[in-house]
Amino acid sequence: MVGTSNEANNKPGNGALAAIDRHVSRVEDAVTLFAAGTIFILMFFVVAEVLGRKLFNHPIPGAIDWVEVYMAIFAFLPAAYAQRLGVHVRMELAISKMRGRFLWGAECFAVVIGVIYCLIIIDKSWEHFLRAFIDGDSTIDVQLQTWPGKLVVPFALVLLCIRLSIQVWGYARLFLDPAKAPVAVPVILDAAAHARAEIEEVMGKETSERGERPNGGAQA
Amino acid sequence: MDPFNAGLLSVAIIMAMVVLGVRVAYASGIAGVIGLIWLRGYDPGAGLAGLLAHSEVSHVTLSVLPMFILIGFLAFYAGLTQSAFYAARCWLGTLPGGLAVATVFATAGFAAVSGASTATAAVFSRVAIPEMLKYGYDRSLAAGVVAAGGTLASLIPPSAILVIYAIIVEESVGALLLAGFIPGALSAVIYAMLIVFRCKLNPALGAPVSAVPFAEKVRSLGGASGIFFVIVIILGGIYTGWMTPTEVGGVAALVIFLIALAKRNMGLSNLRESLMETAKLTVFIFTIIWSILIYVRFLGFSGLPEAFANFVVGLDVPPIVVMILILLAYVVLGMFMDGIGMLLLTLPVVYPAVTALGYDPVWFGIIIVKMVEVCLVTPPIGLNCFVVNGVRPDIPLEDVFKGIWPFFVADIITVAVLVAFPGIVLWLPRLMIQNITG
Repeated sequence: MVGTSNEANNKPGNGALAAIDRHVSRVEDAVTLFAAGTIFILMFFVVAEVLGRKLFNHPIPGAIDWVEVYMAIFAFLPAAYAQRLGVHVRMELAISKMRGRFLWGAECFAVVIGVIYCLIIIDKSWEHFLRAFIDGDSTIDVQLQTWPGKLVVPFALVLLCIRLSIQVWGYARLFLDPAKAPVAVPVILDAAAHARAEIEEVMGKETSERGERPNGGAQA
Repeated sequence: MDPFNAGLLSVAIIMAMVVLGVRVAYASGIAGVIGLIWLRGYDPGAGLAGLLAHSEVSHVTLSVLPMFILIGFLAFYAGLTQSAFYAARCWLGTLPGGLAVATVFATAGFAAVSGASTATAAVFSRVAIPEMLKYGYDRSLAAGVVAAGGTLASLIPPSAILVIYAIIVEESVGALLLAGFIPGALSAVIYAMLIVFRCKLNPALGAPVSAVPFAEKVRSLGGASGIFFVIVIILGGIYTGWMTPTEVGGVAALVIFLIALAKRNMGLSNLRESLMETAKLTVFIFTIIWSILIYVRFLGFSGLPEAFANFVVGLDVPPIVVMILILLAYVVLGMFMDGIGMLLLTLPVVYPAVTALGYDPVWFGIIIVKMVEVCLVTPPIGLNCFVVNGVRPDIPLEDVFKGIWPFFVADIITVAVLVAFPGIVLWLPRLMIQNITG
């Protein structure tokens, strides 16, 4: 349950790894913002559907179809962003006790598993998209083309795979030389540090609740 | 190797990977993919996994998750924490330990617009603890009530974890959400009774505060009206069947958004931050759901859940003993793992056994989520306690944990009551089903 964050090593670093990390991070931020915008649009969309149905007896045609085709945007696109911030849940009981090469070796193994998993799903979700695209697969109600939603899956997983590969590189260099500073990898926080991160997040929000400018601590 | 043994082996491999720090989504997903490939060959097996990744999450039912998460993040900007505490204080402050009782009901009220336990504990550490300490309340009680109050968020709708449970076990999301309301409120009442009882026995723990005029009491409700409005939308919308859970989520989120706009707290940067946080949590939940569901498909082919259910049913002990053992196992697991990960990882095997024993799926969902919440306040992790200590470093962690024990006992009593009287959980969802089906 103990969380992770890469805030501690968010300082701009030098070298190829840090540069790639920065470029990929920008892409991740952009696609996550797009997904976040989709969630915001969904809020208005479902309200419009309720109002249309209940007040004007005129529901949005194919409302469910639209949601089901395009929900892949927020279900998949921010996966790499979440991986960068160490959000995907794991158990850190054993790994938090490890130090040096053992720690970096175990971390490397954990992300290599993720890479293999992603590669298999990318391959087959791409085929799933191709079938829908070639056959012109559409929804039952308003015959909406389903391929855009299906294309989101391999695209998001390619991004996730790139992020995981960056982390494999980051952990591998630490495994080879544990004295180096961590770059482009999340670091483990203990329960107290994790609690501090949570507080920082909320206090940023609470400060703004009182009409002040948030301190930006809510990022992770 | 037969499929059953392969299923058993997959459980062992997942456990080994999770202990080694592999993220739950990847560990379960790759075990599922390899299992399917082993059973069907590469193309059909991996092809099924690739198809499931998309098809299992492209259901309109799951679109409720981002809406519920968004409500929680927007609620911080709608200024509802201070007003909830002030209203609760006006109405309940005169009871023994009145400020602590007010904290319980304010956190319960805030839980109606937020599903995040740790965030609720952090916010109320700042809002309620200074007030309690100012009136000479025992600092263990002050810290304990905030840490425990935060846990109410998971049962009182909107609760993301109950939605996740409903999706995994294929139960009605609406039924689960309604089912959480009374146990959540009951937990709050039991906490309050415990505080009143302790403070009556030992007034030094927390004294009543002076009464406010009735007009002020009524006025205080105005500030908290957003909370009442959201409760009416969520419970009313689901109960009457007028809106789907996604729709009540969308309408409630819009209401909170408009309150935040009206209070001039919703600039572009705050909106962007809320949405980015929502997207981050949403994708975390979706990733683990589709990965687990790939594994569940393999597990289904292996026959392991069915065999485990048969084994459990065949045990020569009363079902309640098995249930208590399962709940104890969750307490132990909860000491080391996040609630959502723990639920998703264990439900595919545990759930069929529980239903085979004759327990109601909706009831079990509420019990298990309550257990997950208990883990948020118990050592060694007890994240809510660390959060309180982090906001108030002057209250040592030992004092926070000392303050939490009475609430832990209260939680165990609540679970015992819910086990003894399942009707408390099932009354509201059954009424809803009768109401909708006419």
